[in-house]
Amino acid sequence: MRKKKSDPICILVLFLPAVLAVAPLVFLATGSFMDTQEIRDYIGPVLSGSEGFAVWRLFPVWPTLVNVVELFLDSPEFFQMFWNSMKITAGILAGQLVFGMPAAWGLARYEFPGKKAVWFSYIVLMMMPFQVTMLSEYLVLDKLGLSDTLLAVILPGMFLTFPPFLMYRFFCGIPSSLIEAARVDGAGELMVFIRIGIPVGSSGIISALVLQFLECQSMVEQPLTFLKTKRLWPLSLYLPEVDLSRSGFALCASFVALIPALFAFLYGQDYLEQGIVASAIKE
Amino acid sequence: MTGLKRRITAALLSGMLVAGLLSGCGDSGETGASSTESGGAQQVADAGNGTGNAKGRFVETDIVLPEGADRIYGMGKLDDGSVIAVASAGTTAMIYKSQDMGETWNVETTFSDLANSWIQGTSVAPDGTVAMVGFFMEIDDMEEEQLLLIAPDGTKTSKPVILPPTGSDMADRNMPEQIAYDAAGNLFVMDLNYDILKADPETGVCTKAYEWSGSRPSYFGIAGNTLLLMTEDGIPCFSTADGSSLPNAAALDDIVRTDFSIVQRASESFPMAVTSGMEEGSIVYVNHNGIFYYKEGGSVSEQLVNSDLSSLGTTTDYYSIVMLDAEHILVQFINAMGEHQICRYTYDKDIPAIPEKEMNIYALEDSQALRQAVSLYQKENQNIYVRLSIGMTGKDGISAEDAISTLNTEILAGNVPDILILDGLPVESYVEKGILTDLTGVLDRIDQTDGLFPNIRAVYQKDEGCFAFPASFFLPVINGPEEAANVATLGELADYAEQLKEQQPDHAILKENKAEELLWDLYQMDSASWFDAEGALKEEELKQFLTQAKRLYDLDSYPDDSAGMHRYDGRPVGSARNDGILTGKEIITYGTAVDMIDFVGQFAACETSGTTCRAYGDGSGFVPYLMTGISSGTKAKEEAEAFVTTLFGAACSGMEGHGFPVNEAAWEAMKTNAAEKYGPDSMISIGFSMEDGTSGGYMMNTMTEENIAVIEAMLQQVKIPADTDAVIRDLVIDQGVRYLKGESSLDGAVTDLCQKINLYLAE
Amino acid sequence: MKKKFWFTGWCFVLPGFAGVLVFYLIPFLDVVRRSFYNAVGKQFCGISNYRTVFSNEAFWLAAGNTAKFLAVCLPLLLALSFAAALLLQRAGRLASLLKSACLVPLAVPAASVVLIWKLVFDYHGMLNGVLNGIGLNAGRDWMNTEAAFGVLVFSYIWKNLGYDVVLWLAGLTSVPETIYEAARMDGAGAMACFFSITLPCIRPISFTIIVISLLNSFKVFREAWMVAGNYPQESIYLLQHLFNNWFRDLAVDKMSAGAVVLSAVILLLIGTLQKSWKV
Repeated sequence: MRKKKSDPICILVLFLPAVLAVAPLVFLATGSFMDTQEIRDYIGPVLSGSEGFAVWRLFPVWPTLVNVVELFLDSPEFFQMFWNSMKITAGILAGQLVFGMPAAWGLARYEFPGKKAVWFSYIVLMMMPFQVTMLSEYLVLDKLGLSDTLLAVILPGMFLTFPPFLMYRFFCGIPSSLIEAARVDGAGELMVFIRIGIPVGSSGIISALVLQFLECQSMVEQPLTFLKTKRLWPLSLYLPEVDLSRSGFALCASFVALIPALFAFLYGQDYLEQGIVASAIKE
Repeated sequence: MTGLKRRITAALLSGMLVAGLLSGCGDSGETGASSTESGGAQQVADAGNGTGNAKGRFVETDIVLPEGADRIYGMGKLDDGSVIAVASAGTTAMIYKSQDMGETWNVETTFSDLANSWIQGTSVAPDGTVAMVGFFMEIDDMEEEQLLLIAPDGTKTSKPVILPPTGSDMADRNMPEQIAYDAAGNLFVMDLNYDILKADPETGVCTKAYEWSGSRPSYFGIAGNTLLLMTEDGIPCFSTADGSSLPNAAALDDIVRTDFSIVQRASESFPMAVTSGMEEGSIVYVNHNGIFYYKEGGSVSEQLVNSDLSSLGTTTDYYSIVMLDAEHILVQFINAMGEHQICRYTYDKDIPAIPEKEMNIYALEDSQALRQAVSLYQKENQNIYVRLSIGMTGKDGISAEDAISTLNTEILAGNVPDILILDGLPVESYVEKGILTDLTGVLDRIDQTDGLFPNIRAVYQKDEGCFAFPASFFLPVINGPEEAANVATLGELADYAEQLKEQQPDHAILKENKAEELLWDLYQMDSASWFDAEGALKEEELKQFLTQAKRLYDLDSYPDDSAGMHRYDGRPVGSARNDGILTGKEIITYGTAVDMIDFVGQFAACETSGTTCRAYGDGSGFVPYLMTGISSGTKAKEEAEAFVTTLFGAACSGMEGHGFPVNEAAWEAMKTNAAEKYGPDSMISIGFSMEDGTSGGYMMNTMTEENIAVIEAMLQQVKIPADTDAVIRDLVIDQGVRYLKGESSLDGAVTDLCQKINLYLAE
Repeated sequence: MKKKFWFTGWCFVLPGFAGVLVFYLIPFLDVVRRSFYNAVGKQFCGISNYRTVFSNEAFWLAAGNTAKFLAVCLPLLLALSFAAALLLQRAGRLASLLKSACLVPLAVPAASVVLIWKLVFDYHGMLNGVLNGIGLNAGRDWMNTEAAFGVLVFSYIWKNLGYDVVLWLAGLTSVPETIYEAARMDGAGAMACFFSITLPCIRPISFTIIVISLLNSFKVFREAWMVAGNYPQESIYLLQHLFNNWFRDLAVDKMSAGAVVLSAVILLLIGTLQKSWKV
């Protein structure tokens, strides 16, 4: 950890993918400050099929705040949906902490009958395309009286099998000696989990949560199928098809919509590294 | 270890925090569920559920003003309990008065010729004075808006409206936007600055009445002596007597907070109207959710009329509302057809508060024609709650595929809508999977009373039954020189058009086209012949189609840079334009004719330019519209059949804006109507500027008996429906656009298209 | 050591598993049931649905494309992301910045991704614009030719590279530095360290990463679908397109049977993978 020297070649090689990865962000950000006419000039060839090729600029020629103003002052439904997104995300993440995390711990650190079956069912269920189970899931939610409430999206999300799957690996990586030592100190099983499992596995937990966060932000099919009432829709359903008449606004909305996700991993990453450091110190 | 401890606490704390959030959002999820978008409807339903079979509801009836009034400017209640409406028939403006709750109306005053006047606002004072602002022909001052006052005895005075200077750069002069009287007879004006001004009727001078620093109002209304401003944040109220601000009413703020569309529409329409209720300080208002009553100091508004059970939900323009007494309300609005209308709502204490039965109608795309049918049906059947759900509203990014998949989920889960409007839905699969029930019985009944076009009936009546049937249809037509009108195929059309082009290289031959619109037109004209008896696609036909479409597209090299398309009732049909021939711009037009007016123009073109108008090809193709099915799982079969009877019935499908009816009685009515309106005696004319810069025009008097017979013959010979498979149509148009624009080769396009279509058929 | 705690184990797993049972396992079993019934789910029809599915051309095309897609993009993604992670380890102070950059695609909403794909790969798009600019007159509609497959692979890698890099990094960093130090003391070179310490140590996590990459490869569908519709160019017609279209036509019977076949294959694949990984 001490010798953090940068290798210029590595940076050079990584530069290209990094630029490709960030390009859409730049595109959205720039577009947010362009007026519709300017955007039309650039991307008109693609969207309306006029002659020439689409182009883009790094900075708008005529920067404008029109889109931002429209979004923040004239679009209350944007915020309604933004909060719906936040509620859904918070609910799912909390559920994962309460249910998914212990399940991962149980699967990683204990032997018990049926473990293999549970483990395989987690993996296979994780892989099922949504549209396959959509109908059956709808029936279950309908039976439980949950359809058309935010819970219809949150509850299944709380039990997504992906986060436990990811946490599992990190819990497995905790040296047994640590756990044994705690047990010898007289800690109960729950205490072992809370005092050793969670802190030492935190990098995995946080990775899983960050990834799940991103997943929640871009959910489309679930809310669309389970929420009939538009007031309950999350932001991911709001982002309109970009048409030429409101392209600036649409780009601005998309840009603002992805800000929480950006923050999530900027902060998440801090924790992520701290977690890794913490586990290294433990040795 | 301290570091570790801190981490644990942090982890636990954040866990608790999120758990707290979760419990919070569980609640909101539930409350959210009980307030659906049409919140009003739900409230009534809830109230109904709570009280069992509660009785009593306002029932809607249409009011027809005598003397053929077709434009209504304003309406107001007088101190003596009578009601006044300002309206015009043709160019004559009249003031009507009713003493009996709107039952009968008499013309009080006839005034002014409004032919070239522009009326911006109208309001009625409690003493019977009518105020109007705008430009009036008889005052003949087109420089400034006038305030025209008509006293109860009929004397007229007018003054120019004098407003403070405009504060915005958008307009160089200020203008009045809206006017309203309060209960004391003070007149208030809203100007372009969105300031509320008080007008002096003696001088026309308007002075600012209130200081308002909150968010910009877009609209205002007066209920008694309370002035309501509509802003994005809520509805602040003021006393009109002294301009003081009244205590903020959360119930009123909720109007805009829970349904923001009301504020959004305020810039281009009148999304809400207000008046005073019977009690002191109460307010009655109408918007697209219904009619509501608010008592000063109350925490919620009470719903008096549910828009789902009236025509109120089909529109967004409400001009005025009058509460005559506790059991009678009048609303003046623009109905779904864009006509001015007054409806009366009368309390009927003997019918159930909410209809006991419910019927659900699903349509993928919105349609005014459908809404009209719903409204008509609802009026006749006050005991049924009709809910119309639209899969694709166009206001969000929901695609047709998304909407269909959601619908299918519900169908399979047993929540089937009673009626399905099948346009754009996978009809064949629905029939095959037994989702739809046989319509033979109900169609037979309509056939006996009204008659259904036998040629159309034959198309859909199969041995095993008839599971889907259109309410109306469109007709592919072509207009041009005899040789053009007689073409049997697109190839012949292209040959002929190219020949003409050689003769007159500088003249446009065909109507203006854009790739997408052209393909829609041609697809609907031509696709009926693409499939063989087994329903398999003929590849050669497809290739021919694309080849000929390309020739037609390239012929006049029209610029093609925008996606704008001609639309009829929201669908990309009905582009049988004729004006190009009339103005001398082009020689041939084609497309789908959707109503008699299309033909009025077509025949006018024939008369002036010596062209011929025919059904395209062998005249067998047609485009079905509003394909309707009743689901086999319906619990309201009788009601659903009754609705279908209304939708296919003479009263509904003969209305303008429905295409050509399948119903023979409706067609008879349409013929009579056309002959009356556009017959040889008609004086209606249309003017336009010709290609060469001169001005031209034509008389809309071409609906002679012979011409009507020609149309009738066309309707009677159609037998092959076009555009029956939305999947194939979308694939063809998508690929076709690319080919026409030169982005792919013919072989490439055909191969690609066949491959995709075969994939579709293989599934 | 772990054995005696099996009751405790279940206690940890049970709450979560109960939810999984209700919201995922039961619906999945319902799908299995439906695969033996007719479309509306009312009439038992044995294995005839499976027969229909196996004799369906579209199914084989979609299954073949899906397999081909996995075979191409999984190894590619794993290799590229692993290389990137190793490079990132040496990138020093800039590492965190570069890593954040690679994660950005995950945050971009699908609607925007679709727009960008259109702008880049359309006939009038930027890619053709650039090619045209450097004198290659490559006027082609990328999404509607064989190149569509390449575009799909590219978009998958683009979207998931950062995801995998983070996971690889987490694995790499969890290898205790002390082991390397000890090895270096013993005179082991960089190569030796890599092969005898790094690789074995990240072996368990590589299983996880493979499974997750597989999972994410199924998610590329939403974007493919939004760009190219229900019937894309033949080479990117995937199983989900088929499932989607089947559902549109209410062919739940075929869809369920197809899904059961798919899950059987996945189960087999994971089982084999796990066996050979011994994790």
